[in-house]
Amino acid sequence: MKFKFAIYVILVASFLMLGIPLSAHHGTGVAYEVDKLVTIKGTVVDWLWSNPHCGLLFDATDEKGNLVHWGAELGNPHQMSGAGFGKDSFKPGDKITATGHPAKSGAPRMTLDHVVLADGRMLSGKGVKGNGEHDDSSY
Amino acid sequence: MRNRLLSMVIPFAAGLVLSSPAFAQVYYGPSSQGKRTKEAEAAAAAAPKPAYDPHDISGVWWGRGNSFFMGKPVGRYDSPTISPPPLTAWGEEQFKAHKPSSGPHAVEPALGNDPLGHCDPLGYPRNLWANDRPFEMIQTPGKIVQIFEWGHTSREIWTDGRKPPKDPDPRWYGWAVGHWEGDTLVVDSTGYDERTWLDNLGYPHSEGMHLQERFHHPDAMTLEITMTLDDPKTYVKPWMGGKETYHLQLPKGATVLEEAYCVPSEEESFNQGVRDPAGKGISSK
Repeated sequence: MKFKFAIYVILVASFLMLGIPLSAHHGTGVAYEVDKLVTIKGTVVDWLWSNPHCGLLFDATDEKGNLVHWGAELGNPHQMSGAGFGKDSFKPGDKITATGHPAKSGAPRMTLDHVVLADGRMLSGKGVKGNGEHDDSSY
Repeated sequence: MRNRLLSMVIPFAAGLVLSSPAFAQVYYGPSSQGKRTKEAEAAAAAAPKPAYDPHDISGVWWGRGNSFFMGKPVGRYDSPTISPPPLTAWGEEQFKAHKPSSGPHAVEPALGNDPLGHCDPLGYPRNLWANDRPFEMIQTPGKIVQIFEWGHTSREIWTDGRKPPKDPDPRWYGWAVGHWEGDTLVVDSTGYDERTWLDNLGYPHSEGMHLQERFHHPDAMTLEITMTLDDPKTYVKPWMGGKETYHLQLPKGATVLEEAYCVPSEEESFNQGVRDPAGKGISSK
C-alpha cells in the first residue's frame, strides 16, 4: 500500500515538475502543445549552438513517405551544456530520435524534451545547472 | 633603452599576476543559471558571510525567482497578477501596439514584436527582472556601476553629487544619480529610450519616465529595492512597485556573472530555422 502511494506521489511530482519549466520558458506555452509529446526519427541537417537559443534541424520521412524538415527549440548553450550538450553534439547526417512538444501551428517544429543519439545516449532537452538541478530560467 | 626594459618587465609582471593563486581558484558562477558545480556550491555555502555595512551594497545579487514585472504580488510568466495604474490614451495606444509572448496578451514569439526577440537592448528597469538573472554592484567613491548578467551590460549610478542632465539624449539605460538618505540609497533616473518595455508583458513608458529606486541593505546577505515610476504621459498616476528582495551570492568578490549575450546573428538563424516556422505554420526552413 505504501509502495503504491509512493509511486502515486512520484508520478504526481513528476507531472508537476514537467509543467513548471514549460510555463517558465519565454513563449513556450503560447507556441507549443505543452501537454503533448511527439517522437520523430530523423537525420540531422544542422545544429545551431547559438545564444540565446539552440536549435536542432533534422529531416524525417512521414507515414506517406514524404520528406519533412523538422526543427527543435532548446535553451541557451550555457543551460544545455549542463544537460550534456556541446557545440559538437551533432553533425549533419547523424541519426537521431527526437521527442518534444509539437508546435500549435501544426508546423513540424517542437520544443525538445529529449533526444536519443545514434550511439544510444539520451540527452534531456531541458536545461540543467552544473549542480544537477533543473534550470527553469527563461533565457 | 627604457622601452626595452618595459618590454621585459611587463610580460614578467603579467606572468606573475596570471600565475597567482586567485586565478587557480574555482569560478563561482551565480547560481541562477549555468555551470555552478556542486563543488562550487559547497564552497560558496561554506564561505564566510561578509561584514555588514549598510552603505556597502557591492557584490553579486540574485532575486531567485523574484517578480518578473512591475509591482507586487505577481505570478509566473503565464499568470501574472499585477495592478498597474490606468494608462493614458497615449499609453493605451503603445500597450496595444506591443505584442508580448507572456501574460494575458501573449502571442507566439514569431508573431510578436518583443524587442527581446531580436536581441534589442532590454534597457532599464526591464533588465533588472525580465529573465531572473543576477546583477553585480561595484561601488567606487563617485559612482556605482551596476552590471546585468543579461547582455553583460551596465549602467552608472552617479553618487558624486552631480545633478541629472537636463533634456538628455535618451538612452536604453537612462541617466541615474544617487544619494544616501540615512541607510537608504535613493536613485533617481530619467532620459530613457521609450522603445524599451517595462516588463515581459509589454507595459510601455515614455521618454519622460522618472524612476525613483530606494535600495536598502538590512543585513549582510540582503538587498531590497522598491521602485516608483512616474510617467504622466503613459500612466494617469505614479506606479508604486513592490519591494523586491535580492540575495548576496557567495563568496563575495569571487562570484562571476555569466556572459549572457543575446547574439543578433545567432538569434536570427534560430528564428529562421525554428521559431518563425513554428509560429507561422511554415512546413520547411
